Amino acid sequence: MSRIMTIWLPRWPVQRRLIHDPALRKVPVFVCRRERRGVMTITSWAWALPPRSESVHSGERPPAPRILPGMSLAEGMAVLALTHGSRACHVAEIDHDDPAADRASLEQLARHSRRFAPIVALEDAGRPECIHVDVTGTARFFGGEALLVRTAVWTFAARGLHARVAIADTVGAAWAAAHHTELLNPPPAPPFRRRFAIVQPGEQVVTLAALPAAALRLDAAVRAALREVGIDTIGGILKVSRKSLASRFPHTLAVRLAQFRGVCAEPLAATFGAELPRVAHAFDVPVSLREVGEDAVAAILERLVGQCVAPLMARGDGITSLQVRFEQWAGMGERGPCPPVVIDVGLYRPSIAVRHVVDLVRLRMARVRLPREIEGIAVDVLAAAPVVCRQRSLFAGESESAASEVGMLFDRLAGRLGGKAVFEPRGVKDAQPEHAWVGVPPEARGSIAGSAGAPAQRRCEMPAERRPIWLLPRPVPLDVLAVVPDTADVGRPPVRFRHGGEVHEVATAHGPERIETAWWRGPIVRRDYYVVETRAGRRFWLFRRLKDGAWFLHGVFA
Amino acid sequence: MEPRYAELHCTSNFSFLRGASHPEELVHTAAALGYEALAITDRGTLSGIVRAHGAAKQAGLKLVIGAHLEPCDAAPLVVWAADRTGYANLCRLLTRGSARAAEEGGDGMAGRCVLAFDDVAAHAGGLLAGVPLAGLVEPVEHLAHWRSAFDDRLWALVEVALEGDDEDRLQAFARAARLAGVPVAAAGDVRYHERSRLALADVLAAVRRRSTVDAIRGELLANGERHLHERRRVAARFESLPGALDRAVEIAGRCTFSLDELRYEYPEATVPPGRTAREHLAHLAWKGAARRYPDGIPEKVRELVAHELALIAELGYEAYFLTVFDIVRFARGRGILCQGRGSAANSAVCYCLGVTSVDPARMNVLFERFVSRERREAPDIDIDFEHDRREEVIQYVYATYGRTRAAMTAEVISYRLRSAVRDVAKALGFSLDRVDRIAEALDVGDGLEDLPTRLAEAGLDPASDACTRLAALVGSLVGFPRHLGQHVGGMVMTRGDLCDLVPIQPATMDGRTIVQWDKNDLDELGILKVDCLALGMLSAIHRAFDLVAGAGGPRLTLATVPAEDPAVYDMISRADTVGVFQIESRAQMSMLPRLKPRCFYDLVIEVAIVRPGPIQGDMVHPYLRRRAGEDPVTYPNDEIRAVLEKTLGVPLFQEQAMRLAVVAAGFTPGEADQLRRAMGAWRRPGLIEEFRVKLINGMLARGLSQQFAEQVFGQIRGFGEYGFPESHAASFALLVYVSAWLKCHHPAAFTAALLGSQPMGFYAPAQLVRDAKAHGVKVLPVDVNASCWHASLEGRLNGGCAKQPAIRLGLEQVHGLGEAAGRRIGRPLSAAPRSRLPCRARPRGAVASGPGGCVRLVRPRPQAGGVGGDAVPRAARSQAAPRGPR
Repeated sequence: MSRIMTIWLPRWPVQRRLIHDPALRKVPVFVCRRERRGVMTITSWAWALPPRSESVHSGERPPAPRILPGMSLAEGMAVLALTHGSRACHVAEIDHDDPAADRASLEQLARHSRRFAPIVALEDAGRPECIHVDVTGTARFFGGEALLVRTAVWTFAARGLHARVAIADTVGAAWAAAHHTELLNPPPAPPFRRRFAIVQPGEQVVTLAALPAAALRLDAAVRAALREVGIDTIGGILKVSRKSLASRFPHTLAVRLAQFRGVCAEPLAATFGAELPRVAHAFDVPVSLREVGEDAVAAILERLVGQCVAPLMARGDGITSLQVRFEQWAGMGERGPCPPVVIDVGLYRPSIAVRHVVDLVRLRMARVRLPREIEGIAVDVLAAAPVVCRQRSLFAGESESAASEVGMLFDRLAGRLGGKAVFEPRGVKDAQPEHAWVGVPPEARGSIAGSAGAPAQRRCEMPAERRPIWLLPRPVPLDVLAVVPDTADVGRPPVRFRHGGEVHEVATAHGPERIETAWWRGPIVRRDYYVVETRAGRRFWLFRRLKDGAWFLHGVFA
Repeated sequence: MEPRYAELHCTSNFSFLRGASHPEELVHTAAALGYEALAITDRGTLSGIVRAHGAAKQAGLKLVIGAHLEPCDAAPLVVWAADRTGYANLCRLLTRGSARAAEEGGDGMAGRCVLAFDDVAAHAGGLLAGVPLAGLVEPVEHLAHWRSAFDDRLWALVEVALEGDDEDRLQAFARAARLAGVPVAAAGDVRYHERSRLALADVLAAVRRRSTVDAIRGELLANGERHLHERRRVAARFESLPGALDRAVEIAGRCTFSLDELRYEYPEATVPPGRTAREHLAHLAWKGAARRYPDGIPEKVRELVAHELALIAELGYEAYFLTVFDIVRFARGRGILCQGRGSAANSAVCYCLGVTSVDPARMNVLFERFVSRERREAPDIDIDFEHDRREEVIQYVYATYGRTRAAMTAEVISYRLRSAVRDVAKALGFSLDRVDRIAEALDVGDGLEDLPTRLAEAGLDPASDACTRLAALVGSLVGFPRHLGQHVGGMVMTRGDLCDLVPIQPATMDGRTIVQWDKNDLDELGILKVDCLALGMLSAIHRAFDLVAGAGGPRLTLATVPAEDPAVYDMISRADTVGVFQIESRAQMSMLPRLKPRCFYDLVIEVAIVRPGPIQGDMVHPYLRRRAGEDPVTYPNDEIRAVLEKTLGVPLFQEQAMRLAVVAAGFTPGEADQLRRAMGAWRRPGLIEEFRVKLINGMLARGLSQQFAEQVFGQIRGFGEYGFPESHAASFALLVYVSAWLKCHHPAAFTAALLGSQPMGFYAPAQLVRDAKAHGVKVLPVDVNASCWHASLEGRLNGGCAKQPAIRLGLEQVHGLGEAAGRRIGRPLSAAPRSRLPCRARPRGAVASGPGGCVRLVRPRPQAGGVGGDAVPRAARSQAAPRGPR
């Protein structure tokens, strides 16, 4: 007889966000999916710490709003406003659904859950929220099942996660119990006690008969069919004869029931993506960083990174994201461990160059305050991607290595200045010249043409002779000395103007090119541009502001 | 001297989501600028030209009719109709283009028009053409290509808009045209009438691309030069191309076609040989009269019929009446109940022909309201058909007149406040959630002036830049056409090919085609249409008649239901009207005990009074008080007495309000009608204000008090959209009476019929069943052995209303049972007795077993309210709350 422990993390998409940003606990968090025609549908939502209502003296919380997944965001907001007022809607955090990240994050947790037992798997569902652990025979290492479930709940709580844990004979039973721990431990039980349950061996049918039918992991159609005939508990289903069960309901119900009772085996499919390497170095005694010296740390880092790179290299992968943790020593007097100092490093392209990676870490080390004494250093590879190998050509060695060195330069600059500081300007179409470019992160190189999602991202098609080589950062007001009077509202360029202490005589002029645009950004921009050539042979790009007729210099041609 | 100029390339907002000005605005601006002519050249559509035509006549500007075409294998082209042939060709061309667009899977309604060079070349007769050169890569080749189709009727259109190198471009254009041997004409590619619409044009572009303005900023035009310029400026712009302006004027001069030339011809009616249409109509009318009044035609009716026939003959509408008669005869022949509504009910001839059912002997009818010599306006006959059988009628019309000669009327779907706010806010990049919140904050009755309040309610600051921008753009977008829809039932029929008259396009619904004009456009050109509308209550009444006859009762028709039955009026006065047509709503039911209708005309008033119009105009309470004798009935003067005497001095019908404007404020009947239309549609507030001033001044001048004047204005405003004309109310009142009579005397048949016609009316099946039970009707549950698909009656009627048959609920009430399977189980009992199926009763559920092996367990819900027995009636699933209006 096997024993399965199921760890359920309710509203996982929201919980995942809460660990990243604890401030979100104080506000309602909505995770939404964008549906057809732009409607936002709630996939999950939660409000970890709603404010205690001030009017009720006992400090009771107002009833939780009944917002169900599948509602539109607007509807959810409306319901929220009913119970907590519209203020709650204004502070609400709305995030886009990201199933892949949810899953990846849960897998990470599953990996950590191996501390309970070696066989760990995610729930077999489209949007998993559960981790199954095969704890057959391992519970006694934790002091028995009763202690094991407590430990599990506590471990997750320590990470800021709310988990429900149950142990039963089958995956189905454990799942059912984990989802209804509150039902199994009715109110007199203290809140913490209500987060876990143990179903004694062979007793799942008896213990769990009163649970709702949905606890059998049924899809909506089967649930509706059951509801229609008035069956709402597992016990109710068990009463129906197997024959009529098979003829009246979809096959999945029978399968789920068999899995629940343990008649039909349900193996745990422990399939994680290829393991990412993680290594650590622990010092024998806490050491002072100053004593050890930076070079020694670098040497350790180099060795650790080298250990990480080796298995990746074997798969043809390189590091794209890396985390280095300096485990602090808390000292004797203080209680509990101190949080480690964490350095995250992102790379421009997958790399297997150990020295380069270490350099990046050292760059970052220079900018964070390191603890005085450390117990150890851990290096986790957070993401890896295949390294692009290109055959070298025989004679172009210089330029090729130059290209890869540019990538390294980007990494270093980004490491020192911050990720947003490194970008590449791109021309985009916009009638207003100073807005006709965007800064594109260098990673996006090459992919920008493919991602023509936003039309404005397309290449600027303005003929070169009509735009200056050098666009002034901001238009410079000009002293216009002589103009030709306007005829028929169409302006004329100036005849003579002063700029930079010189007086320029206009020889020829092209234009006007009128722009009237940017009204959606602020006040409308209305200008008449001219390309003028002075008698001295210089070419300037001038414009007249139509609002008041003032002249400006906006660019200089070569 | 100012140069002469005519704008030949101008897009109105009927090029949906492209043009940013109404055709009227363009025409008026062009006239104000002193243009020789203006061409409206929308993209593949002529929808806007009738409005432009009306405005041009008013402004005294010459209108050129054309279109902007974008063939898939040639350069874009602007064509103008030079003469009637050219116009017919243009219509045929566009008809073809939109048919092809629909074939290709596009939406015909979206104004798409798919053409090829060959199509255009085949219809080139009578058309002049211009090729806009801007943006063409190989202008010479393109010009030569089009030249092969249009020969010397082709021009090269040069258009520049201060793009920096205008002069170079002009020279390049001129060179290309010279090489191709095509003369050059100036044009402006106008998108809006004045510069201020630039922002709106950008927003429309964003809406079209389903994006935001900021996201498509690279695609937007760099400046707002595409408006109608002063002639002086146009001349300055084309200074280096002498003659280009004159050539534009010359082209406009060659286009002599005007929409006034269109001659609409009624389809020939099916007249028996040896008789003229006039004689035939008279024959049918008198024959019908003899049938309607078997005891001899009353003198009043005889006079009316003679008078109407004379007027019809004078105006030449015989064919129209015969056409309508033909449609009605077809419907009757098929056993489809139908009844004319609206102003046609004012006609004794229509009554004799069987088109309408309001007895002119019983009512004071006013034929001039329907057809009048002064108005010279096409009469408008609306006929209601049974809801589920109207399609037969429409297909009959198509079959009789052919697809080339009959089509449905379009309905221009315009931006309302809410849709405008939605689209503009999206284009300005408000989050979708926010957009929804604003749109939801808006009430249906809100005007532009309420927008700031609503924005504040939605949690936005109305004074912020974004919101002022939003409000301004919404203000100009409201009223813009958005797409062409299909009018609910208007059919246009012609003698010749309809597509010579107006382009036809396929409708979204299969097997339907629509013309590109809406009903106002057709009115303007005097084109006749027949409205074939659908009415659910007619289906229900038909079903009830059938059930009564099937249960051994008399075979009833709309005309044979006994009139003025006091028992029926007693029932109505008790507000016992669940399920009765029109008077079943809460508002109506609360009115009934106060109004206590005692005769047919009271019902007419009842139908008309509980409408938003009279309620908003504050006419209900004065009427009730006067009727109860609490207030004295007074009239400001005798003229007004004549108008309002029927309704105790309170205007309750639309025509009374119009009439008031005439007698009290000195409006001409035409102006009064304009006033109504101005109120009706959601128009600019300025126009309404103009009328208000005129109306109130007129009344003051006639010695009426300011208060009375304001009151009348309020009433007219209320009537604009939501009032009933008397004749229309009378037609409805007839159905009210018939349905009330059925409910009174045959409650079982009536309820069964309503259950079979769901969804309709205010009440859910459960409520109807409960009501029937309260009236002592036995309601039997669904039984697999006894039920048909629809509810049926069990037992016979034996004369009096004391003994009613029982209602057997239909299988349609069983949740989850498909119609096909249900109909197979519920074949009519008479056809072949079903072998008894074992019916397994369960304590909490029953099994309905279908032949397809489908087994469903059904269980009554707690809230079923004791409707069914052991099966779940659909009633139980619906909410108990009253549903929306019919």
